[in-house]
Amino acid sequence: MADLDPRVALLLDKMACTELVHRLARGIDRCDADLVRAVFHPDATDDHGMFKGTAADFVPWVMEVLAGMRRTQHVIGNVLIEVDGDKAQGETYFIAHHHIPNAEGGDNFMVAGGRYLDRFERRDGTWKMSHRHAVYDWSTVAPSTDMWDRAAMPDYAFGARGHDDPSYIHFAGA
Amino acid sequence: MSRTCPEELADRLAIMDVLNRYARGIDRCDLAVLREVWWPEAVADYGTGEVGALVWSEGVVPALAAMRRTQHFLGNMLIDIDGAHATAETYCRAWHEVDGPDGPFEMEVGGRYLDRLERRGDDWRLLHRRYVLDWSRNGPSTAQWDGPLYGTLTRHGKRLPDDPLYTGD
Repeated sequence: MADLDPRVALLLDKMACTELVHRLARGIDRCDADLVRAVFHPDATDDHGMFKGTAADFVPWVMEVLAGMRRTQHVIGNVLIEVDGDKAQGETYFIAHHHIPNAEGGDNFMVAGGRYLDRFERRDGTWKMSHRHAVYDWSTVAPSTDMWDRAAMPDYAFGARGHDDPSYIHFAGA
Repeated sequence: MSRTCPEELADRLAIMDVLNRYARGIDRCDLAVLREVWWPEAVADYGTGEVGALVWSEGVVPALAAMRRTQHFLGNMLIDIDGAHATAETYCRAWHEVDGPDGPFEMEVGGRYLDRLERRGDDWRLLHRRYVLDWSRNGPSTAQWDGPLYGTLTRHGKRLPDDPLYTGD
């Protein structure tokens, strides 16, 4: 890779870091602990405010938080990556959508906007996340107005947790 | 997910362009743009079965034009490239404002496009698209386009041929 145009090398590094951000969102939304774990270096750390610790401990913690929700979608927007050799810093904007069961027997729709301040490291030629720091900028909460009767709409593909989600078969066929 | 090699950079960027051009075609109701994202035999399944994507495109444009406005906001794109074939998952937050019996109504849908794409020559296009629904939000529009703050935001998105994209205004 030493003979690459440095601009191409920078583009590849930024793309690798961006892909880690997108893969982590997929792992969280699918509640797939293996996908989440695979994004981090073994000694990586996470700071979600209410959780601070190792990425290894973050995985079971976040899976338990997710288990209290019906579904989530973490939409990633602006991804700003600064690469410095084998290290990189990222600032990524997110809008996270959550359906959360409420006391009235329905769901609340909680939408949170924030940023991930990530650190990435390249080890043995592979970029992974060494630290994730979640910052919350705004949120809205209201009773869910989702009107889909999912069981009565068998022709439609709905998002699911785990390997029931259509994305697994989709990528397995690649 | 595979790591991008230098040779695949152009492929990856071209695929991202195709995905983004789809949103432009949809939101601007621009059938010419929309037609160009599909190969002739492409198939799309938005939940009501597989149909020819070009036939689907011709039907969806007037349906979209009947809405007050839409925005298909694409986020996360996970793209696997294998030679001249690619598999992709793209997050989308689709915002629609329609005329309801009691006035403007908002429908927002969070979903994902599961796509297969193919390169022919230098051209990447969609071969198969399956749309997955994740969440929706529905309610009366709270849009404000007047007053001291919002009233100054006068350049509104429109459809072909009136959008600033085409007029340059």
